[in-house]
Amino acid sequence: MLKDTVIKASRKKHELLILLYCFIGANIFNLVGIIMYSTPAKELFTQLHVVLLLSLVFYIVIAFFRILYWSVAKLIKRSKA
Amino acid sequence: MNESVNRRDFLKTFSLIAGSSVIIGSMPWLQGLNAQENSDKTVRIGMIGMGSRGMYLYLMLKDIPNMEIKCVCDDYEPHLANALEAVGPQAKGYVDYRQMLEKEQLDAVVIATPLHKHVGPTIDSMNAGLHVFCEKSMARTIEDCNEMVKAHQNTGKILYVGHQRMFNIKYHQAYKMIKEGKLGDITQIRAYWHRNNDWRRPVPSPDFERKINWRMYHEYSCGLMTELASHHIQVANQIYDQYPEYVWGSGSINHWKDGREVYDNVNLVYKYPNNSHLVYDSLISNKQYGLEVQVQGPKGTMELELGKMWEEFPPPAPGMLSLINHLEHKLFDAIPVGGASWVPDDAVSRKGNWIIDEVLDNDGTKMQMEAFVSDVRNNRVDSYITQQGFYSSVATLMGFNAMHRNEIVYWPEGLAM
Repeated sequence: MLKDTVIKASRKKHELLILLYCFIGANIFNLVGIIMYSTPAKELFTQLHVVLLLSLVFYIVIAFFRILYWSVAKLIKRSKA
Repeated sequence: MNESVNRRDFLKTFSLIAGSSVIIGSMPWLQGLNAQENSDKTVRIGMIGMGSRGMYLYLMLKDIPNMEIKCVCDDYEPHLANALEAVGPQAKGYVDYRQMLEKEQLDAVVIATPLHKHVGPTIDSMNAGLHVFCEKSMARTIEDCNEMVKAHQNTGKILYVGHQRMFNIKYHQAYKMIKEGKLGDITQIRAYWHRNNDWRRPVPSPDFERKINWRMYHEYSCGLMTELASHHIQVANQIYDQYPEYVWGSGSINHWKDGREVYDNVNLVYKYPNNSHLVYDSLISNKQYGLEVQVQGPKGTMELELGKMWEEFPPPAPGMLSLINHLEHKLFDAIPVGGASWVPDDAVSRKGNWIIDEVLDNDGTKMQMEAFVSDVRNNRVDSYITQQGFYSSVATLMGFNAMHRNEIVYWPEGLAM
């Protein structure tokens, strides 16, 4: 039988906060691109779909490193025990 | 008024591309498709020349409403029998077109005989009071072309020449964009038509060799020039809105050495009065590149057969995508050991944009036949289509003469309509 998993409100809040940081990061990335390549400022809005996609990419990349960190930490803990 | 679905589709697509009425207004030969019919009168047509092209034209004609094919004519018995079987018992068959003109009550004739036999039926039909659709090229000689034009002018009868690209919606949109300056001033048109077959047809006996394989002999045909090049030369003339000043070129038989007289590869440069050129080649020993008309200007390129356009300086990509692209190159591209002192002018590999989104499955022949029948019914005579056929045929024959005589051939002085 599979175990029931409980996602606490604090965890949800934490994940949403990471996603928000990713979204802010993607917007900054967009802004840098606009400045570097002197493209129209309206791209801040017209490229929102790419910004959202990039936010998701950032979140997945961060998630990968977090999972890696947890796995290594768990392994160390188990070996110590 | 009855209209065929294809005609409606054509006009519908026209309305989708910006300003259909403006385009049609600037292209008078299309009035036959756009205008209201004056009557439901049945147009009575006789067809002369029922070989492969004649049968194709019959297929394009047969479903046009209020049109009747009264008779067919061919001096080659198997072609005549085949045509009569296809058209049905209501049509009469003739071996001699003169008898057909004498006995039948017709409004128009459609001529798809071998090239050297265009001139006789065309002039005789117009003199008999009939409108004429004649396949391209107009005739085997410039003199014959001129005589056909004179007959058109003297009789006031319609003379269509079978340049179906004038009725191809993709080409219309391209002309419109070119006129709007999307490519800048056109500096060069490159066109080619490549196939890989010998064009030779089986003959029942050697006596029929020159009759069936007329395309192989100078007496009847200029081969690749009159069979293929005339289409692309017409397109170039229409884009430049001129006829060429002169042409030079080289042709040879370098693959199909089977006794034919006409070249199996031709290479020509046409010079136009605005210092622009048409560079043309055609061969029947390699089909890798098929056919294309590439229209080039300082702002862009169009490939008309494919129906695509490439801008020379496309609008820049969004800043963020450029940044991503830049980082991607930094991370993954190989690091050059030494700086390149010369960058090769590789062909642009962008995808380009379609000239029109909606493409009708029609090369223009069907629309051309619809317009012809409508013009006959309404007695609407427009000389532009005759002029286009005339100028492209003369330029085609000039090209052949340039190669054949190995000299620069100039547009005949004073020849115009």
